[in-house]
Amino acid sequence: MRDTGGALLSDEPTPVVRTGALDEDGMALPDERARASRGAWQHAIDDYLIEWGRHPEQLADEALDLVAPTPIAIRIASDLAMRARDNAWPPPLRVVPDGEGGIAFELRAGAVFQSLEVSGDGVLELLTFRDSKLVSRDPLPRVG
Amino acid sequence: MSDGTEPIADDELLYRRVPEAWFDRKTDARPSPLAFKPREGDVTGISVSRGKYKTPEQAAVNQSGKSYYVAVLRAGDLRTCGMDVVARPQEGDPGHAEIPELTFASRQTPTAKGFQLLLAERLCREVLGPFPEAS
Repeated sequence: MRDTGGALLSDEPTPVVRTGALDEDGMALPDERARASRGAWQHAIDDYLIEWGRHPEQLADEALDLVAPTPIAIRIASDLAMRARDNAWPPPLRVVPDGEGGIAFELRAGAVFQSLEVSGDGVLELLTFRDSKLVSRDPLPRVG
Repeated sequence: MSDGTEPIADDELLYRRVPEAWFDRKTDARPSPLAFKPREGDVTGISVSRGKYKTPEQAAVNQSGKSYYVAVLRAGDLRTCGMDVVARPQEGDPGHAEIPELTFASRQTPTAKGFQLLLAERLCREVLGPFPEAS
């Protein structure tokens, strides 16, 4: 099964969605960018995932039919974010609830947009778009 | 007197309510595509408010007391990209309209996913708010 980090976009001048079973060391960004990337993932963990775990009700919205992330989604998303931090994966643009109990990490580089999604029941999926067209949709293995 | 049934002109602005979790001005000028994801009640399309009938502040009003941002779209831009927006006035809300290509049932299709991203990344002209502002 394709390594998750190997599938995430890079911030090279010509963004490329990597495919193939690259090892995680091979995906690590140069030192300074790696530090920034780790910081971004830690920020996602501290300011979003941990906070949502403590107060999921803040994300529910009955008026808009929005369901807060489930405990399993928060746990799996947190495990994924810690792995991403430790391996200096490309940093997310944002981490957001999906309104149906899940969580998404969104990344963008040029014409490529990716959404790393954890469903409310813990299923992982990576969606890749180029020029706003869905070009691939891949299930991913759970971490942890 | 207009009752909300007249067709939506290409140059009419549309407002989409965006919960705070899906937009952060410090992070990015664009909202998450999830701001345009159909919800369970979106049987015939996702809701927007017509600029002819509402201000952005009015479009954000809700019963929950929460603050929302408002994404601004232009009807003609949606049509250029393969979507439509149709007037669907409701009791007490003549400015209600819908984007029929985005329904709950079809939300996971590649086309729908692409439209959500297009709305967020390219067609959203600006994001206003939050409304009401934090005191």
